[in-house]
Amino acid sequence: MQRMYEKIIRAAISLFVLVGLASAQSNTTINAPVTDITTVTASPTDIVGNHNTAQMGSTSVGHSTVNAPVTDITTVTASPIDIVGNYNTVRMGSMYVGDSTINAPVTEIATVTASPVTIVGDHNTAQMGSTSITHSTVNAPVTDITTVTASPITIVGSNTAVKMGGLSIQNATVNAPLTNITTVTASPVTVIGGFNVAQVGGIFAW
Amino acid sequence: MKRSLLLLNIAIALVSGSTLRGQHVAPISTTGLVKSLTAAPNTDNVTGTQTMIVNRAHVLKDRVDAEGDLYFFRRYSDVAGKPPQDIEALLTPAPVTPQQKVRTMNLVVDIDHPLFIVTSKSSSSSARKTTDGTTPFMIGTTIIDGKVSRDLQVNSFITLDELKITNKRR
Repeated sequence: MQRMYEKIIRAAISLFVLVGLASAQSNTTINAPVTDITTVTASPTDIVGNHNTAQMGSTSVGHSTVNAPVTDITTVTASPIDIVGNYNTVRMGSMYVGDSTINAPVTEIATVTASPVTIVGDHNTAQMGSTSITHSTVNAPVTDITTVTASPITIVGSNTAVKMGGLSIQNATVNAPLTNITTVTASPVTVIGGFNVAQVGGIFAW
Repeated sequence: MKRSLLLLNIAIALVSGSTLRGQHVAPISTTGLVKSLTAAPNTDNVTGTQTMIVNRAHVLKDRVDAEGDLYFFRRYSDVAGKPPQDIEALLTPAPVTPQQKVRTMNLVVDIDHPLFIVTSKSSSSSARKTTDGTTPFMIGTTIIDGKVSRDLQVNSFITLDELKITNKRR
C-alpha cells in the first residue's frame, strides 16, 4: 500500500515538473507591432485526407522574445493547392520564429503567382518564401523577399519537402542585417520518392 | 651606301614603333587578352541586372571584389552529364564564411533544359541537415557558415525548366 502511495506521489511530482517546463517554454514577449498583410486571389484549395495544413501568409511566433516589429506581407494569386494524403503542409509566405530572441525587425515579403502545389503522399511539405528562425539569437534586421512565378510543385511520395526562396537560420547567431532577395521563374519542380528535400534559392545560415 | 641605307631603315623602324607605342596609353596584359577570348556565356533568359552578374561572375570567378561583392552564375551546360553530387556542388555556391567579408552575394542560375536528378542519402554534398533531420538538395542557395557579423545581402535570380528529383533505388 505504501509503495502504491509512493508511486502516485512520484508520478504527481513528474507531472508537475513537466507542466512547469511547458509553462516555462511558453514565455513569448512581444513589445512591438506585429503586422501580417495577406492577399489571396482565386486560389481554390482541395484537401483530401486527414491532418493536412495549408497556410498562406501565416506568421507564427513561439517561445520567443520579440522587442521589434515583425512584418509578413504575402500575395498569392491564382494558386490552387491540391493535397491528397495525410500530414502534409503547404506554406506560402509563412514566417516561423521559434525558441529565439529577436530584438530587431524581421520582414518577410513573398509574392507567389499562378503556382499550383500538388502533393500526393504523406508527411510532405511545400514552402514558398518561408522564413524560419529556430534556436537562434537575432539582434539585427532579417529581410526576406521571395518572388515565385509560374512554378508548380508536384510531390509524389512521402517525407519530402520543396522550399523556394526563404531564409532559414538554424543554431546561428545573426548580429548584422541579413537580406535575401530571391526570384524563381517558370520552375516546375517534381519530387518523386521519399525523404527528398529540394531548396531553390534562399539562405541557409548555420 | 648600303650601311647608310640600313641605318636609315633602322631609324624609320624605331620612329614608327615609338609612334605606335604612343597610341596606346594603357598597357595590354596577356591575361586580359585571354579573358576576352574565352567564350561568352549563353544568356538566353538573362537580362538587365542579371547580365551584369553573369559578366562579373565570368571575370571574377569565385573571388570577392573590393566592394565585397561575390558573383555566381551557372547554366545548363555546366551541369549536363554530371553525376548528382557534382550537379549539386555546381548549382550551389561554396559556403560564405565571415573571413571572406562578403557584403553582397549576387547569383544567377539559368537552367533552360529539363533536369532529372537521382539522389541518394550520400549524394548531398552539403551534408547539412535541417532541424527536422533532412538534408536538402540545394539549387542556388547561399549557405552562410558561421556568424553573420556584418551586413549581408543575397540577390538570387533562378530560372529553371522542369526539375525532377527522385530517390536512388537500392
